[in-house]
Amino acid sequence: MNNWLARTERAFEAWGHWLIRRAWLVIVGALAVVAALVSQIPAIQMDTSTEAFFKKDDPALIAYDRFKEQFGNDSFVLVMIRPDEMFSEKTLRTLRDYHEALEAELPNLDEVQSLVNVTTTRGEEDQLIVEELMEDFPEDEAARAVFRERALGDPFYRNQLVSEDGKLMALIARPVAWIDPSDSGEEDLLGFDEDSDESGAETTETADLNSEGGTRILSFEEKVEFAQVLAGVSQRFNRDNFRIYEGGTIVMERVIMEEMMENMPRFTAMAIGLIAVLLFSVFRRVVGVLLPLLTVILALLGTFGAMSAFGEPITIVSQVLPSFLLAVSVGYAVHLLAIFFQHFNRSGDKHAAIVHAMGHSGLAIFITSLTTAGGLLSFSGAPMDPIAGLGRFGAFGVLMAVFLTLTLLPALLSRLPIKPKARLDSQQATRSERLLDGIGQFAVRRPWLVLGASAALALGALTAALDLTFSHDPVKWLPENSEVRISSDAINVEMKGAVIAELVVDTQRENGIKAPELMAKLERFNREIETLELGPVAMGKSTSIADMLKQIHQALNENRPEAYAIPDDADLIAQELLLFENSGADDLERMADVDYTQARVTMKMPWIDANAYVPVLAAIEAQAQEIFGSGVTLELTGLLTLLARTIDLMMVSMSESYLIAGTVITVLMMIVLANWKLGLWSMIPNFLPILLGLGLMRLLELPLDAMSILVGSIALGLAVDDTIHFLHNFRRYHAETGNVAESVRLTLTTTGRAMLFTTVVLSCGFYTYLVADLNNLFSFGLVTGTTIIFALLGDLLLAPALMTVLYRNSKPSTQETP
Amino acid sequence: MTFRIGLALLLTCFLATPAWAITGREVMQFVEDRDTGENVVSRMTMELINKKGKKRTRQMRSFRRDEGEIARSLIFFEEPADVRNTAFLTYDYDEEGRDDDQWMYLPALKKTKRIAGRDKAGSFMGSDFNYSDISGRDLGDFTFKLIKEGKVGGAPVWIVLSTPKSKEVMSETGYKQSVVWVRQDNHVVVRGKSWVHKSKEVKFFEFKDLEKIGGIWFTLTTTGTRKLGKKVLHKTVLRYSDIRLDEELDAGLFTQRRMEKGL
Repeated sequence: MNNWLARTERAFEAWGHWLIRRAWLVIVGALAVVAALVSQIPAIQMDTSTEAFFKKDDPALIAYDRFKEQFGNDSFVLVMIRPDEMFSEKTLRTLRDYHEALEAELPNLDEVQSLVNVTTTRGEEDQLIVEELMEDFPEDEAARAVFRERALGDPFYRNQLVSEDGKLMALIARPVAWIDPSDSGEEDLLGFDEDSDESGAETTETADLNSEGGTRILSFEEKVEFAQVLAGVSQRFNRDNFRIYEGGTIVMERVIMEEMMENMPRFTAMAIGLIAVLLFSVFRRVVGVLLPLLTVILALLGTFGAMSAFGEPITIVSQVLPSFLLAVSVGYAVHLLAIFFQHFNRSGDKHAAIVHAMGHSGLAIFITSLTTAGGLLSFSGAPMDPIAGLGRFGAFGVLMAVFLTLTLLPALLSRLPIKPKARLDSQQATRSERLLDGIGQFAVRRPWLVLGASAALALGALTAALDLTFSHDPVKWLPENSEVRISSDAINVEMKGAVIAELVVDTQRENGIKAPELMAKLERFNREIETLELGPVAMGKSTSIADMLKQIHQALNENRPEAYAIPDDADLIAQELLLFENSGADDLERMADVDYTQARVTMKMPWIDANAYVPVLAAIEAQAQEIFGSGVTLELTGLLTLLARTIDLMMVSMSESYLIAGTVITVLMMIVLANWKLGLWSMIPNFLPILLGLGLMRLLELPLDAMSILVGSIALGLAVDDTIHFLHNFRRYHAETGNVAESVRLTLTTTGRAMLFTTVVLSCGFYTYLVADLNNLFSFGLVTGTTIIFALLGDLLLAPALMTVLYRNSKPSTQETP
Repeated sequence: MTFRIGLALLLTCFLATPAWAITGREVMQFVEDRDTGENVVSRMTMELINKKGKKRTRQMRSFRRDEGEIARSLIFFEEPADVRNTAFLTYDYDEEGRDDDQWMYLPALKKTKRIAGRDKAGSFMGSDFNYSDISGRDLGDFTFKLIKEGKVGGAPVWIVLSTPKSKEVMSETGYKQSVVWVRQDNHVVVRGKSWVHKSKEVKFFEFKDLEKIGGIWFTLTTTGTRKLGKKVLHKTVLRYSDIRLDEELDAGLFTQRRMEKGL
């Protein structure tokens, strides 16, 4: 034993003495800290939006927000309707009623667009007609036949409001992009800027032009509310002959949030129940169940309080926090209580047992919490915001749990009336001890076999792991029979999807987009990009101001089919656009900026795995470069670019966190073991399980997604705990006996049981996700739980084998260098 | 909730209001009856300003003749150059329920088209004014309430709330309710605030630079600002100049043929 360790152990013993003397003070103090944090919980928020994956200063998000400011919201709900008969009176009436109900009830609505109100621009003799398609309800057969012809005849509606085959229709509901929370519109009747001062109004307004006022982007909760109200209205109108499918990002975000709200309490309860059972099976005492549970539940509540206080929302990543924290941090209490009860049952002296347990396990508990927190903190700088959040607050929770385990728990122990018990579970203990010992001794006898097999496994796992793909596909997280997944698939097939990419073409000069050449390029780009097929992506509709121009040009030319084209006269384009502005349709605002410097191209495509969008975006960019050339600047944005970027962010987050976790934990091990060589060697049984976990994912064809990329660093942070316990004890016994086999036996039959127990708790904790509805939770639970088991095997087989090889020639002494 | 607060405020407003010597309807009748000139020729400069302060300017020449039953107007675009001589001819009928007639001439196409189906809620030449703001409204479609008296620029005003009587009127004019500030001395509307139908947007109007030309009051600068809460979404400044009342505008001016000849 070196002096450093001995001194620290004595310090922990002294801390134990102090705790017993000041128990009430410690209890009240610790509870006060928890209470202060818990008081923050009511303000906690949830966010499952795509935007939530990004840091506020992410360039892609900034570009997207800038785009929304210019052109309005590009996220919407796409409702696809499958009627029994498309243009029957009943169907059209239901469509109109549904449309009007949505207009009346949706909060923060920008617009509802359907065959009811879409602008129709057409020429009839010397007339130009610009009106809503269903300006008057088509009451009779003849009127409905005309309506049908117009609805199916306009290429602008196809794949947008009517399906390719004309058998389905769609409705788009768009929330506003911006909202003013202080919006006083209705209440403040006279609220002119300044009632009696003439100049006041003018100056305030001019100033306002450049300020944001109190305006902010529509919040996640408001978007969810929008989707919920929409779902409610749809339910009233949905029937067999008017089947409604809802799709689009907002619906997805709503459903995932609802799943989360249902899942989180369920998994928290399951984790608590499971831990209670396991605790009872180990300690056979009510106190042995209640005290660890109390510690971890308080730590969990405190963590949620801290998240709320720092404005960190619960996301699809951090939803695992409750069961994760419960499983991870209960181990600390178990290690402390195991030693406490061992001593207490033998001696009957409670205070002495507390001091002994603190001295024996305090340091190991503290260090293992640091490695776990280190593994988690490796995410804290990740470019993906929810992952960074999980890292920060996961680490906070672990440290909070260890704080309570080393303060509240012993203080409560010292004040609770507990009686010593004779060992009841000797029979069972012997069995698990025999098993652990058998495994350890096998490794000691055949170290090279174990090492060789490990190397072979590592190689195989590495090969498989290199073949893993990154994925981000929230639809696939939902169960196959989920309404939204069915709808999304149907919309992909029938309407060619509901995900949007936006291209902003900036000519850098006023009226630049009115030039016939540029309009022609916009038109060419639209038509060419619509034919793009790349892997699973078959591009849907692509629209721009050129489509509107063609429409109006045709209408001005007696609807002649050949006039559905871009005019080649610049003045005519300017005049036709002026006419369109004057017609009162506000569509133009969405397609070009005020001085016609920039044009917006909106491309729709199916909702699929975001990794498939990466090459699509590259292809779009290349195509745009080729068509528009160097005279303009092009910016690709929209929700789709955000989705594609999540893949990049995942890769960076994963490699950064693996690197940081690996380095930080290795350095910690070197410090803890006070021996850099041993520190390095000790990482082998820790890295191997991670590799095996990744190999397992490849074997089961699970992708690396926003959650499973965390497995490695989380598992590493947990796996080293057992290694620390193993090595800590091994070296103690080796120093005493000088015999590797004997030291392994002693280690595994004492600390081994706690290692086995924490592994069971942890893997069961993660395995609870096997009953999750969300598939990404399922994979995360399966892989992490199994990796934890691999990690225990690493410590039972690989660590003893390594020690056998390393300590083969060393003699018993206080010098431990192999 | 919002509705209730609004209602409460409205009620407080009304209950606290003393019995005025004049009703809202009477004020609006004054406005309606004010002489705005029979034959008016003017130059209009329209500045369209977006939320970033980006500006676009148009210049038009406007001819207007009010015949009581029909108000005829002809607008030629002078600038920008690419829309020069594009023209809009409008007949606005006083008769209740009768839609406007409008024709448009595109010189590049050399064609006149009758524009059908455009409602008054539509934007006037892409500005923040609706056609209903320009052409006036039918008093019978609204209920009026005088809610307050005050001062604007030192001049006493009546402040009148007008509410459409039906949903149809709302969608026709584009507003769910409006408040106007009417000068008590000359019955000129100097301010307006309108709540956009099916939206949370509010429009603020200011009518400034009052000048008496040929015995008739004109507001030479009109500003329309579209806002969401405190955020300005878009703004239009309309300036009138070269106002002439003495030109003889005969019926022959307001024809398609004249429109096609250009300025």
